[in-house]
Amino acid sequence: MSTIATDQAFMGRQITEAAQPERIRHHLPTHRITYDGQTGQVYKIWLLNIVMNIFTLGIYSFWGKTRLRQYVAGAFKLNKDRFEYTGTGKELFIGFLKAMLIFLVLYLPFMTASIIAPDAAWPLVFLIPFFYVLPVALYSAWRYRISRTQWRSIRFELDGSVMKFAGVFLWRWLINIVSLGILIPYSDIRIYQYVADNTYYGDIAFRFEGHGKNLMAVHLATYSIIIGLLIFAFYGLQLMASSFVTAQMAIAQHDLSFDEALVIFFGNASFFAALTCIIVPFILLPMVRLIYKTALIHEITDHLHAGEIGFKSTVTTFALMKLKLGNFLILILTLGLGLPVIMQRNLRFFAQHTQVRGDLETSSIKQTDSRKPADAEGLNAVMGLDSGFI
Amino acid sequence: MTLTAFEARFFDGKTAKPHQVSVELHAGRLRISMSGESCSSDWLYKEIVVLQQSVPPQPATLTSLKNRDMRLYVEPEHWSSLKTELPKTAFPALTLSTRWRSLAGYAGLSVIFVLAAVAAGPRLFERASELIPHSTEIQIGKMALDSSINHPVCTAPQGKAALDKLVYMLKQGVTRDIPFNVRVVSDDETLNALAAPGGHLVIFSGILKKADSAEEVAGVLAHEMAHIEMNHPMKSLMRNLGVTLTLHMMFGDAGVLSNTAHFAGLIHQLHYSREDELEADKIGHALLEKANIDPSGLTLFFERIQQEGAKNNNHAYSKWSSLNEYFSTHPHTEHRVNTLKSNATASKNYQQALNDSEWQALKDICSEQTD
Repeated sequence: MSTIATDQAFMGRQITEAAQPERIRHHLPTHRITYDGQTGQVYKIWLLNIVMNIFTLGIYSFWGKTRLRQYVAGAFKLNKDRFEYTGTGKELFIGFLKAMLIFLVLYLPFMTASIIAPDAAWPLVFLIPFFYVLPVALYSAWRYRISRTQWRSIRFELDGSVMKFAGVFLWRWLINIVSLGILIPYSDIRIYQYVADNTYYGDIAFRFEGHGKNLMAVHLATYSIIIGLLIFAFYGLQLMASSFVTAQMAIAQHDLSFDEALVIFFGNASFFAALTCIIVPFILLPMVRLIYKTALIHEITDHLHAGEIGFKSTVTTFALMKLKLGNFLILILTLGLGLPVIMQRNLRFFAQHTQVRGDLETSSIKQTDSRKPADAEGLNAVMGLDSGFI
Repeated sequence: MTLTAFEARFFDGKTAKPHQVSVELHAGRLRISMSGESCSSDWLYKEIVVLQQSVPPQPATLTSLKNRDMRLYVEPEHWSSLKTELPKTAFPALTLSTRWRSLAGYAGLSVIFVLAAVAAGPRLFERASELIPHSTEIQIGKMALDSSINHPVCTAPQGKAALDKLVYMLKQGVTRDIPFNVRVVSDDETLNALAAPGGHLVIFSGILKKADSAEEVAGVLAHEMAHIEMNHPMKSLMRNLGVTLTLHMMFGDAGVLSNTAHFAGLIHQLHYSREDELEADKIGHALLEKANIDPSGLTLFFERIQQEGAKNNNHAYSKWSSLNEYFSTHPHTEHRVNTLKSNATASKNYQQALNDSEWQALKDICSEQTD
């Protein structure tokens, strides 16, 4: 009886020992993250954003985005207390203007050079800085978002250098290409590591102890299946082409009408064989990749620590598959109007499958002012990276 | 019943330690006492800042000017009554009423801005075309043509000479200092001619095939040269750029709406290009007059194209022609012919545009071609 009473007192946030044998080993309580954002509210904010963007030439979007982020952050709850987003529309707007300026400054040399020498190749040199734009934009956006998030009045921070991150990002990108994708897990982990190791909550630093080698087996397995499927699809394309040629030859030889030719083309058994060869890989490819994706989520979550606090993901490939498939269907069936529903599904999924372990009540986490507040994001908005949502 | 005390979550902004507190309302202040401890602190109403109002089930977020890192989370059920107690100063930018009021003002201003942009924007961007130097314009025109026209060019020398003669005659009325680069390309099926930025003109050989006299070709040529004289190609380029940019800013990430907006933008562009065509007809007419070539050639040519059109899709044509005009870059032929006719002066003694052998040479210009 007393166990039940305790559980109810914790409102189900602490999980019974029977359900979580690991808890005994670690002697650490496990906490669930909950998300109680309401789809109706999200739609209200989203639709207001669309309408206001029309009237304000898109300028409202910075304030609209802020409103949505505030609502979403407040809907996440960890151990009775909600998260808070403290960014403002003004910061986003100023960040956007700055990014526009940077973009223009980067773009001018290329534009001038290509007018001076329209047929030459050397103006392309001026496009090199643009390689840096993507990682720089990503990192600055994350830094802004993280530094404007807080829980229990203590701020999160993302330290580190934007240019160093860009270096890591581009270097791993190159390695992925050179290794023909075989070293992708090492790159994924390395990039994540840079972000995790530079993240702080108050005065405690996040540590990440995962390793790319833990993912190699699942990566190589899924990778070879994918290559097999691609060969299969290629074979399908060839079959398709040959059945097309057969139909064309029939037209030429027997002087057929277009309708008659269609009958031959689709009546050809090899056409359907070909179609299967193309469609089956098309459906299976993303699903196979989700197996790796699941392993990656586990690796990056389960080996993340913040002081004494640990994290655990409960994602399964099947659950992830259901989520992604559902999202895909909602997106195409609602012609984009279901976007808030998709967002809600993603956020709920994250909350449902992420656990926090450790003593949250007595730990002595302190606020720190040592790090400077981040500049507002903006480059990603100029590049359309964030596709205007959250 | 008025609110006198309630429970809330409090954080001091220095550590992550949660405090369950009881809050009492006193005149002009909130007394916050930690449960189980004797200490309490007072928040004066004038120091309180509401960071976020409560949207159930989320609590309201309050802080104090004493230390803006402090947080007091007030649950929805208490918030509605506490809200009425707090002074206006506690709601800096986020109160719903002021927020709506400023949004309304903002929207009103923006509507005016949009209307002004729609009315004056395209013209403003047109003006920007004047800032582009001729050398750049010629380069752009060359790039546009090279990428879109890959027909063989007709190069029979005598035909070229005849063409050059027509261009020379018509050029007399042109005031813009820009070289003309006229070429005939081999495509008998296309009844068209086009003007690209930088004085580049292309005549499809279908025109030469269909024309009955040098005057008719001169009419088409004058029309296209008039486009160049008025800088229409560059203007429309800048205008389209402007409309696209504006629409992108307005509807950038609104999904379905953006398609509708771009369709509206297209109609907008078509309207302007029809205006350009009518203007080119008028200026072309003047160029022909100046060169002392009979301007009725252009009229005759249009009339014949129209008759052929009527023959080809007799019934549908008359039924849909007004709708066609609305959705076409060129004005309805009948409308153009009427306008041209009303511009025509009483017949005077025009010179023959080309003599018979020159005219024949022009018609045969495609007997030699280069790719």
